[in-house]
Amino acid sequence: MDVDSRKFIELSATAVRNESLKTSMGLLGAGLSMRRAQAKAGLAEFDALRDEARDIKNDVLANLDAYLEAFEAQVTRQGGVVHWASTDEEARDAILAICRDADARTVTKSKSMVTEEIELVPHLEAHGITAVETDLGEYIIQLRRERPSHIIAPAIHLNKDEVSETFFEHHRKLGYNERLTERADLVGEARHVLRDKFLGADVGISGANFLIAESGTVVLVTNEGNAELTTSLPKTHIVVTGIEKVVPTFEDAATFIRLLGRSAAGMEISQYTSFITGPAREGDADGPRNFHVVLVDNGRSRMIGTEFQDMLRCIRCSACLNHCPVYLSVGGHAYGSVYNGPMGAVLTPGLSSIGDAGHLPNASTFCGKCEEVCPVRIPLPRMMRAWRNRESEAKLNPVGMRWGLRGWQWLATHPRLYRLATRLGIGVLRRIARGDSSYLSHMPLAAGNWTRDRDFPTPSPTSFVAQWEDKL
Amino acid sequence: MSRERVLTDIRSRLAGDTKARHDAAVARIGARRRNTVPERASRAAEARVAQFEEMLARVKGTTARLARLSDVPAAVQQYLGEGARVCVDAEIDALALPWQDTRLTHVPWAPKTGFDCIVSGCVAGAAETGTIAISSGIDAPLSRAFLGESHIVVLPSARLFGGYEDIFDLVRQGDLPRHLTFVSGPSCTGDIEMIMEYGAHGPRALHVLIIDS
Amino acid sequence: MSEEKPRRREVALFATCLVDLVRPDIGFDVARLVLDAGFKVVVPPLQTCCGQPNYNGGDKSGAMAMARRNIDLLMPYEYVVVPSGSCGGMIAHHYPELLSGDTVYAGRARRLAERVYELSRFLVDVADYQPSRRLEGTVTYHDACAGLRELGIKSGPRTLLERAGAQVVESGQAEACCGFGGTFCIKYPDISNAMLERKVADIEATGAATVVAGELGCLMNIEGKLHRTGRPIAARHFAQLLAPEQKS
Repeated sequence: MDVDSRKFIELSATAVRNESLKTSMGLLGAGLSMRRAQAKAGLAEFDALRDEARDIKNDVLANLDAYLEAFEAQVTRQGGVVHWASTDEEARDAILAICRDADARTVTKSKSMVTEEIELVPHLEAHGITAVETDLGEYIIQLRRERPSHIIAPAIHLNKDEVSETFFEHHRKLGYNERLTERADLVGEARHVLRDKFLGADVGISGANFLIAESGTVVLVTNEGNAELTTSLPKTHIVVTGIEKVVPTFEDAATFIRLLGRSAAGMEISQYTSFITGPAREGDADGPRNFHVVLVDNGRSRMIGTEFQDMLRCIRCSACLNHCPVYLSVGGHAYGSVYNGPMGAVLTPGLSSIGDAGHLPNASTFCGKCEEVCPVRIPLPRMMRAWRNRESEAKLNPVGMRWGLRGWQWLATHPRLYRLATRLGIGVLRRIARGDSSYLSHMPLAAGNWTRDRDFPTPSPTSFVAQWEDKL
Repeated sequence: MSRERVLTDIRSRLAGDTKARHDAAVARIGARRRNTVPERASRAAEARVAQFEEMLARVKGTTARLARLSDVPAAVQQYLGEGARVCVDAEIDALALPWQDTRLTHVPWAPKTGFDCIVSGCVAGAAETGTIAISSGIDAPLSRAFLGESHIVVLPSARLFGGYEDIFDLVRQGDLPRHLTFVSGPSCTGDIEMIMEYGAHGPRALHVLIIDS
Repeated sequence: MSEEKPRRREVALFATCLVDLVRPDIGFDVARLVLDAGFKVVVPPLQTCCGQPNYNGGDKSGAMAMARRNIDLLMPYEYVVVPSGSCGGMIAHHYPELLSGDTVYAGRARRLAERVYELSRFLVDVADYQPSRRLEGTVTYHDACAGLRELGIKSGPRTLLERAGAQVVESGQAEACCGFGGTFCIKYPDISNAMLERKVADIEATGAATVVAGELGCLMNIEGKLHRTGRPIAARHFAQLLAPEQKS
């Protein structure tokens, strides 16, 4: 997985000044949090479903090998093939091999974060296979050669005019010469362009929202209907998904389906929820002859049995992003990872390393909103804190931070020296304030990051504890 | 081999022995236990039609109630207008409905053939979210439901259930269809500026004819 | 120390490092409130910091050392009152988790957790306090994150303000983080500022003359921005508004 969060500070500084991004993020945050709240209020059993969903996933993770083998056996029984990939490279190779077996020249794709994680499309294109993203948002950013900025709304960082410009530039060579200004017309043009791609594709690649162990069924959730066309028209269907997506039964899938749309976008259910079981049957009028499922580990199994295991409950609903004040300030691209927001801040270092992704679990105020809205009750702040511990233990965080905290702890456990040191510090601040001002507008060193944007109330000369002692 | 490597990596981090986990998973799957089913998915049959209509209307689907199956052709023409090019699926075609009384143009199905509307049957409905379930099968290409400009579904009220679990119980009675899709409203996308636009890749409109008898 | 009142009515005030060092007047306001509610106030003189900066900054062992020390410091008291949801949450919520593997301190941490009260919770749930102070005008309340989500502090401070006669107007985003986050505001100043700008605009939109909270970190952050941008809105800890007027 290609991760680089080292430029997070610079990218976030640029992002917060991007007015167009600010508008997009405002629409996202206000719109989806309101819709989710309404959907939650409309279903009395919502919190009970969350508890059950958490328990189902915990059971699955505790018996993961057994559920995966059960799923595999059912896929095989139905005439499909399961491939296992320990790394992203193994996954890419397996998928390319299937495409070559199918003599594929064109592939249609429905939305899948795992294919983003393993960087599948560039790999296929490097080997002469044209891969077309068919989810509208993914299609837009594919034309623009960008990465998704949100796990379910990949083009949320763009506005209508930017989409219009992108279509005008790319669709002209297909004979579409009009510069469109209405959203409905943009959607209509993409529909026309992509309809031909659906009909002409040799292979369809999808992700999976859930895998049902009971029957070897793959569950796909979309609003556009692109997953259904991707998976029923080409002769070969490849499902690419993470090993943590398995659930025991259809009944368990129902619990998650009731949570997913509501948590993601305040929808009672998404427009289309497909349950796909194996390749086309004898006599079927459509459907793929070849059905493959690629189960991707790529670092997931390393999280089992650690303080990060709960992260594997994640169903990629995006509620944590939609409610995160940090994500809504900087957008997804600043994170330098395809997984962003709170879930990305925990998952990314798990799939890559805390060295590559150090900023992500650090850039949080621990406000706790993400955990509050998570449909599977993942304790995201607790796990971000655990990553900070790992980072500090490996001495990967700034040395000034480590020594500063060690010094603070030493002082806090030596109260007399604490009194002396804090009195000296306050004296310095009061000297900078020149005694009379009640606010500091400049402070030295790192504290200057505070006074760059806000004033600091000048501390009193004598601490509360000292004054109290004097009064006794 | 990758398979063994992934399973070994998982097993090395799990508690208990492989056999115990296998038995636990088999027992859990075999139980097919229902989890919490919301009250709204468990209402009595008489309340379901109105609930279905209300829930589907919320997601921009429309409905009409018909007394008899033989009313379907006239209702289709009323919805689409005279001269519309319709593709009727095998299940509905086999009912020998009085299409001759309408001025609709019938188009045979082929992926590349354009038609205004597909008229199809369905597996069942779930009132909890105004959802209908369609499936693939012999003479029933799943993709057809996504290639028309609009989609009219015929739903006998006897097959309108409360919740998703009821549909699962029904499809489990026979061979699971290869592709079962829950449809809850017309195709849409909010990918440009979070505003819902209809007719993304699938039908722009979804109309359900609920047959009372 | 004399035992003139029964020991159960004694409250240890853990001021928090920010109140202690930056705004000692709030410490006295808290003490007067607890006194007015009918309790005796003790300020353990060796108190320092609850350990949050270390706990959240990746220094788990440092945080554990601070937690053990504070447990020793606060165990003798029947009630411990903290005028901060985050420091209260640290002691009540995170100490037991931090020390769960410590044979000596795990139990002590759990017992202390049962006796630690965020100030508004103590005043409403334990003391059923009726403020003697009378307030006029409108205020808006900012729900500081840790108090809200770790301790469930939501109605208590509003109840107290309303009992004193203040009109509490709700802002649209009262539960949104202000961008303080301890060292976060220093490490990620641009993001912190973006969050703070949204918070201050949300407060301003209420038209209230005062924004009230129960967390000094947030208040310093919000107040600093209000002052820098010349907005005539006061930022106050609820203890400052509710404390009985000083008879000097």
